[in-house]
Amino acid sequence: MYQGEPARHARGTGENTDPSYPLARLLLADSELDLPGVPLTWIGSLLALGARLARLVHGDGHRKLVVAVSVPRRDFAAAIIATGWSLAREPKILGSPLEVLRLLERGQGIRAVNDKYVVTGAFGKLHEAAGTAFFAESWWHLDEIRAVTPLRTVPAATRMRRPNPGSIARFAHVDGAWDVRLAAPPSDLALIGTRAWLELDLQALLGVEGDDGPADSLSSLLLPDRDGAASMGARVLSCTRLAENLPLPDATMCAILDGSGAIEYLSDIDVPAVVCVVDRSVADDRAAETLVGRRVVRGAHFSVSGDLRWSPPRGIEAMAYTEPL
Amino acid sequence: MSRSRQLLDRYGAAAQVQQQGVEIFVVVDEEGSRFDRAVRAVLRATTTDGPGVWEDLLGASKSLRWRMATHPQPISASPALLQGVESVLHEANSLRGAVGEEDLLDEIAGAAQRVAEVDPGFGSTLRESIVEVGAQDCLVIAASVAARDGIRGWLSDLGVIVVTASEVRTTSSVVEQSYVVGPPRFYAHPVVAAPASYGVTFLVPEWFGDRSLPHSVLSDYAEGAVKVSARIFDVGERLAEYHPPPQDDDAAEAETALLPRPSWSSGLHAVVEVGQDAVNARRVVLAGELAMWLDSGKIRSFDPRQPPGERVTYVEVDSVGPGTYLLLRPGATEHQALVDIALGELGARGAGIAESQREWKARLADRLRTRDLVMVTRSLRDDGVKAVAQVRAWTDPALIRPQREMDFRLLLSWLGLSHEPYVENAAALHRAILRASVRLREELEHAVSAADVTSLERDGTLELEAPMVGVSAMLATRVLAVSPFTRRVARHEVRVPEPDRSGRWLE
Repeated sequence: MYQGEPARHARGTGENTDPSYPLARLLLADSELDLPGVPLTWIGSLLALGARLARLVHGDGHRKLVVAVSVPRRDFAAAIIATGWSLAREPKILGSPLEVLRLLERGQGIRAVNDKYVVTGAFGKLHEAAGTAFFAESWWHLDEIRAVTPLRTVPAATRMRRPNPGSIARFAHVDGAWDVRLAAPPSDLALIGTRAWLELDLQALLGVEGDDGPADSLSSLLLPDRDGAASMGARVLSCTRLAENLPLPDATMCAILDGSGAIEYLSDIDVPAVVCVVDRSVADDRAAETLVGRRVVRGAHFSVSGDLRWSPPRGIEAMAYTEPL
Repeated sequence: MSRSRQLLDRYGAAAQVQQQGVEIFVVVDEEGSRFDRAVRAVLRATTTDGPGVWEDLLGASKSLRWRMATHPQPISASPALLQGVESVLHEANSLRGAVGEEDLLDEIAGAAQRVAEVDPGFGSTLRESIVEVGAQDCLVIAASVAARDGIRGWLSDLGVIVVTASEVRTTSSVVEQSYVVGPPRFYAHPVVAAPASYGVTFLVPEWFGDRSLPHSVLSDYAEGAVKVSARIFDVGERLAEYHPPPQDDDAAEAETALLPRPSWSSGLHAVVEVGQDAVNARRVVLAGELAMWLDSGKIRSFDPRQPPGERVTYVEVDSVGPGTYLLLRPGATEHQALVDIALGELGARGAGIAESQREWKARLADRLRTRDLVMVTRSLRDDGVKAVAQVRAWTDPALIRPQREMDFRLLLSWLGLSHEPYVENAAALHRAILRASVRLREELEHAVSAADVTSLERDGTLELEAPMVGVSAMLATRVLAVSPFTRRVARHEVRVPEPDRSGRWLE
């Protein structure tokens, strides 16, 4: 069962405020071929874990919160916790598209969303009288642009189809700010593990049982930074290449470490929240030993049920502590 | 079957086993019990003075005992067991005349001989149980590849799936019942905490005293901890009177002493000369009759469970344990090789960079020598340095600079040094090492993908070609055991594999 966070913290213009929604069961499908998917009771719990962390962590403290969850198999767990985090982060506040475009300088990086596409590239010019703007190597109608954000860097011109919000987006009340999310996705999350496996997990679709709307793919909710993506939210990193990517950008608020290979880097990852997914089907207990060792030596007590108000469902163990950043 | 469907079953199986617990069938084994008593008698007799000349007989006996608990098939189909008996007879014979306790030798040899003549009792229990449940609803789990192959051949007429514990995670569907051959402590926690069946039953010969279940260290600290209980059933009929092994709290300890273990004696002679640069290190026994000293920090490792392209990684030395695959550069540490390559690549700048690195590290080391650590960290924190807990580590030449550049700048100011050339030099060295490291990793990934991983899993070692300048062939090798103790060892002896036979009685 999803534990109700999004509904209680409803925001945006999502129309669905049905109080029975939080009790809905969620369905997971590997891909379009497996729709409508399988009801898995723990998915709601893991989404809620990510969401609670997102609401709790602000990054103004001097301690990092480490939460470890052990699952019978790693599949999807990290991606779902990440999705919970991403759905619960406050959307950025953007000016109206025209206001933003007026302030942009020629050559500056831009990401824009209309009803069909999300595009990035360099800004060219604004032709207000004609109701058009030139950027990302094309002319665009101003009245079709839904959200625009300036970028610090100038990416190559990229275009991807705009994903539509599905039943999970409505359920979590992010459908109202959907275009803002696509233009300026929450980019304070890093998902670290075996990249090939994480990529496969992100192709999964999540739906709400009994909801006729389409399911959302995890990647349309997380907007991972893969090649060719026009909207880049969560960073997905392979632990074999992690040493080359450290330290994580200062804006990173949460890192989700999937498996022992990633948990090896626990001491190198200084961000306010770290979630470690321990795969119990793997015999090697080194990840658990690392975690327990750090908790015993450096950690201060933190209760998942008391302090985070999250109770692990049957089959999932959870342990947390805080340590100096 | 889709992954999400499989997950539904896996979570269901884990929840059910957690709720219902597992079963342990303790099976009558009179010949095994006699041999077990004989081994315990030898162990008791040698407790006071240490194993000494008895070491090889004890090693062979413990190894046979392990095989007796993991190879349930009839003697005629169990070459590993017969070979184990041969080793015990051989070692017992070679002690004749050398020791006074002829009666102990007679008893252990006689008991071993009987083990080779009577089929183990828990084999027929296993076969009957599978037939009763139905082979297609069962999974048999074996303690090693050799044990699996033996059981698989013997049960082939039933068509039941036989796997090792590490293969359980790759079996596609969840079945009704798992039969685990051998005592629970021979297995890691996934066998009960992440099962591929709704019921789990262990088959244990009665003489094995320790019946405790494996569990992850995380469970001791976790909320919603997976704690699995066991119900014990006695199985089989007995002909003679029997004194079971002790079942008290000491049973686990007593069994630990009876498990095949490396003889750490080869590691104990390490001597460090006065004034030599020394580090604390553990002795690590490797496959291929090798061993080495391993200090702290990270070491390159290889994980055959990962997909191609993501198999070569770093692990903390502290987390290296039996089963970890290490990638070693025989002769010298990899990090030093990378630093040398990086400095070489930096050309004329290299020497200056090495010097400026030495300079700030020496000054920091000096401060740490002359001032109290608590005062140093407080003072650095007051100056705004974040990762103050790392201050000692920053003196290590292997650590190029603090991870945050701002920490590095603040540290330099605190040391009374200008920011340049230190910041730029450390950054240049860091980048060069990363480049070298990326290249080496890519080469290793390539070498690993071309290598025969099955032979690595079978033999435990494999030589890999990494043609990169400065790095000769790398050796992939499996860790068999890590010493519980550390020793002061000369730095140049660390991470250098050398021939060592202390792992010969390990399974």
